[in-house]
Amino acid sequence: MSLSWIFLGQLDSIETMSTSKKVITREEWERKLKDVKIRKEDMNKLVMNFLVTEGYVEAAEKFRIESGTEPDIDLATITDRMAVKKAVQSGNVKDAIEKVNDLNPMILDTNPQLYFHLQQQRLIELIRIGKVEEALEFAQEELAPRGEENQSFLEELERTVALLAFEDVKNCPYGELLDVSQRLKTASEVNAAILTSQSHEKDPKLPSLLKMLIWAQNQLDDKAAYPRINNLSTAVLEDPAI
Amino acid sequence: MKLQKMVERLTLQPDVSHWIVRSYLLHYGYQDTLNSFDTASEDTCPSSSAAQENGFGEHGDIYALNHRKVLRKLIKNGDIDTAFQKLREWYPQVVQDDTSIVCFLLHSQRFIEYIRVGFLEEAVSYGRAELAKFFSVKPVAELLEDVVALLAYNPPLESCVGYLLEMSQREFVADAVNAAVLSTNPNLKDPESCMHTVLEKLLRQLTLCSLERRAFNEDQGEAFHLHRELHGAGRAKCS
Repeated sequence: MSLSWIFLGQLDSIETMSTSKKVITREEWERKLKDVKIRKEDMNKLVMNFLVTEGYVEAAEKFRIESGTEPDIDLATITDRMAVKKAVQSGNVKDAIEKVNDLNPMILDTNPQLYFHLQQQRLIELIRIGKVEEALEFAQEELAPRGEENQSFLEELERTVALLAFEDVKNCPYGELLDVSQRLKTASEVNAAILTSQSHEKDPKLPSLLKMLIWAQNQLDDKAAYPRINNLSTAVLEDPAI
Repeated sequence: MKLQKMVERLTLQPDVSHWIVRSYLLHYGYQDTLNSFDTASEDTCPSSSAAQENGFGEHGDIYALNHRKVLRKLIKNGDIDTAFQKLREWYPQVVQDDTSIVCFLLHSQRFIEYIRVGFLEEAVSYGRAELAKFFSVKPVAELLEDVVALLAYNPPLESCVGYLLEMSQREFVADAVNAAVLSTNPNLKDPESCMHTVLEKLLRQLTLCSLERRAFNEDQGEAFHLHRELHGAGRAKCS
């Protein structure tokens, strides 16, 4: 009995080894693609969702008119959120904090990491304009206490304060903190927190779907050779390697 | 959930979503939206030339953008007569062959607009003058039957052919006209591109890969379905 089981087990693995991937020709693939129906209104919704979540208020309003698609959240709330985002992007962090608190004081209360990052951004802005004394005072009074509570905050605080040690701030080891990208990062964080507080999904759906496509293709690669899309911006089908 | 997390960890080319959305707006001629989008993106997203350096495709659909926007607006408002007039003026080749699919869709829509406001006599006249010839055009015969059937019902909106009175039908016609105008581009490289956006192609590929994969699994589990994804799964996600 046990011998036959072993024999069957071996047969099984031989079969799996000799099964090569199913090859789907471009012709067949394109034929199947034609049968997939994607509704225009669903694509419109996806685009509207992107505009709204990313905060393109005006574009969302125009899109509503031009396409007749209804946004999934109240456009008025976007304006407030965008004002905060813009303030951070321009380096007016104090203003941004005030606006967030006006919108909903719970946001910063329930988001210590976000609050820390905003304060850190304030510190960066003070360093940027060369206000050394003010920066040090701010770091000691506002950020140090946070650093004591949390190891990663402390590390980030230390990196930021280190900027003060260099004459040529832009080219020092932590110079990237002075980059616009740092502001954008913080702005993004605030944006997400506000969206979450408004019970809206903080991320647009489109990037997730793109990732799903990459994933689906990777999964299918195990089983079949078929025309792939390797460049998302062109959606060009590339022939299966046989 | 675990699978979702794994998928989320995949990285995308920076700004590819932005590019895809822009491409969509350009393709369908949503000019006002596009302009707002571009203005708002100035600070945060790369320009077209930088995008090309990143390996992004070209935005070819700037051709006839304003005209396409105007035509779409006319059709969305149900003003088919003016749409015809503008087409004759700007792109006569699109409406030259009066038995073409585009003409069929436009004439049908004109007929539908008469029905919508209850002008049944005008609808009948128009149908006799402009739609009768399409009964011998095989690809559209079935749709034509539905269109003409609108005459039989009162109120037409609640009938089985009521879908023709929805805004989605106007949009369908607007999209067809859009594609036809795009096809008149003398610099057109790929005729296929008139019909479909990058976004649509990506979504189709996603759906098909998902279906194929599921087929290997004896059709168990759910395959990707955009409509369901947009209307079902969407709940507030907290980090």
